Amino acid sequence: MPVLLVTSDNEQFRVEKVVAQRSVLIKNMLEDVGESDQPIPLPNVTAPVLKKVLEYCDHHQTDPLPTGDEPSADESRKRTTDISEWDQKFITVDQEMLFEIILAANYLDIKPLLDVGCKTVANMIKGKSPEEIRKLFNIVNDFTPEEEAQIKKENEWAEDR
Amino acid sequence: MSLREQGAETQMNSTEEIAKGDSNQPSQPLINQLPHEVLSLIFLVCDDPQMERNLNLSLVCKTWQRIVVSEPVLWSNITIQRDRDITKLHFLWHQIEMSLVRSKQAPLNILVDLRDTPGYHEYMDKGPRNPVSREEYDDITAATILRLVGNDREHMHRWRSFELHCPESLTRIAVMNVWRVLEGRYETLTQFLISSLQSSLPHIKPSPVLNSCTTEQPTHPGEILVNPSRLTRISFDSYQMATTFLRMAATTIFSALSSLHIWKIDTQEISDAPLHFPRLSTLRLYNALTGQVILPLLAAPHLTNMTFTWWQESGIDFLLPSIFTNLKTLHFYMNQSWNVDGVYRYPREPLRVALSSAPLLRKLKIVAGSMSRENAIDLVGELRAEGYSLEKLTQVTLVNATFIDRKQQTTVDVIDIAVQ
Repeated sequence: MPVLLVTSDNEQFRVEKVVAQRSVLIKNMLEDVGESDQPIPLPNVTAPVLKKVLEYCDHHQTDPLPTGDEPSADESRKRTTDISEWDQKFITVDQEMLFEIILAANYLDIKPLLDVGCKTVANMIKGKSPEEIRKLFNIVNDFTPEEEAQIKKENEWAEDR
Repeated sequence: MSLREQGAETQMNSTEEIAKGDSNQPSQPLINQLPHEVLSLIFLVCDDPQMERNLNLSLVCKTWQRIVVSEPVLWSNITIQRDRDITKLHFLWHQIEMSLVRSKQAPLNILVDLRDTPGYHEYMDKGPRNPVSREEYDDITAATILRLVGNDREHMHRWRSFELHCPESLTRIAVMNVWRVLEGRYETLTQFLISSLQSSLPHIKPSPVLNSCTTEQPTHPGEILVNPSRLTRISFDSYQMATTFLRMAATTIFSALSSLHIWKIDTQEISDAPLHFPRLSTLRLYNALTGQVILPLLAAPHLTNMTFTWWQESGIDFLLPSIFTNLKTLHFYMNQSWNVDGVYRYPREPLRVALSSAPLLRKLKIVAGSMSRENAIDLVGELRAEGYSLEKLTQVTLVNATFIDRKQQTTVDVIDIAVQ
């Protein structure tokens, strides 16, 4: 049975239940209310972002759902920032869309998509200096020179190798 | 609650989270509008070395600094890398202390690599800023471990994996000190490894050992206090510890153990009880007598990688075909002097047993000298002619190790042996 999703900008998306249920948030909502043809409001997601998210859910609709038993990212000693080819192509978007997808994945509780988003940003950060990171993400350095010197001093062992 | 109400409630929570990050600065960059727990996740999957990563991220802006300092998991992989400048020993210890504090109660993964630690004179020649005493320096390994354990052993229960690579020059006293410090109940430990380079054993690669002292055992080795349902990997060099472990394994199921390395055991102390390792996939036995005792007792249905050493006088009766049923890789060593012409007649029979019982075998590695290229090709051809298809066996590797200037040089000859 298809499910009707309504975005913050009032666009409607009719999708197969199996696709919509990649989102744990939607899955729980559907389970709570039982069989219903009510539209599901997603007030935190705009239409262009939902369209993109649904593209991901559609492609991965047959993947096994995360069980919660597998080790989380923080538990894995060797972290991998590997992303599958399809996912990589999918997530090649501008920064604004990338962060919107991450926010939506977090809100909709789609862990594999959140992982792909986080890994993509992590890959952008990896190996860069603080200054390069600031430039990349348009972040203002809000440390005073004294504060910066203090942090460096506390971490002298890491810097002065 | 209607769907619309549920959606609105979730929106409110989510907006609040973003607002928290927003409160100090009205125009945050896009990335800083992500909830802090998402930024933490991003930092976590950033696989630069932990300490450099944390410093770099901390220096980006105050928001990132707050997240880095307050996220315990970001500090839970304590790694002292091999190329650390040992003249900055105090910095290393400071790094450990800071990680222990900031990781709060998070489980710890510890890797300490002190293989390149120079002698004391060399250390002093480098002109360290705050030199440690000779005694302290000689005991650098134990002193480092002691810091990781905590003065009141308060961090021991958090250890989840521990890997220590020791310098070759580690003294017996230092080894005993490390062991003394380590004694305890490792309730969360899933991986444990201490290794040192064993340069005097030419046919063995750097061997992982539990007690890195190969010839002299600690006076009081203590007990092995591990959680049998959590331990995944264990390696022994100390025959006392290995024997104790096997005696435990006769009565306790090590249900998570996937990798077991044993150098030697006290064969008199091993009972005839079967050794059940339901998840064991890798077994390395470096001593012929050890294999002769352990292999007939072994019940390891998922064993896929095995190293074993064979002694010409041990016969082949102990090699039960069931050991090889699921094997994919086999490393075969001979326990005798090699580079001796004509020794091929010795490994031929045990290899026939192994190969004819291992239909899934993909790779076979043998020490060169015990057999030649032609011997390997002939043996596989002979077995195939007898009806053992060995269809997955594609490679036989002959390993030749020599010592040049006390350093092991290994050359390999890979023979393509795939079914045509």
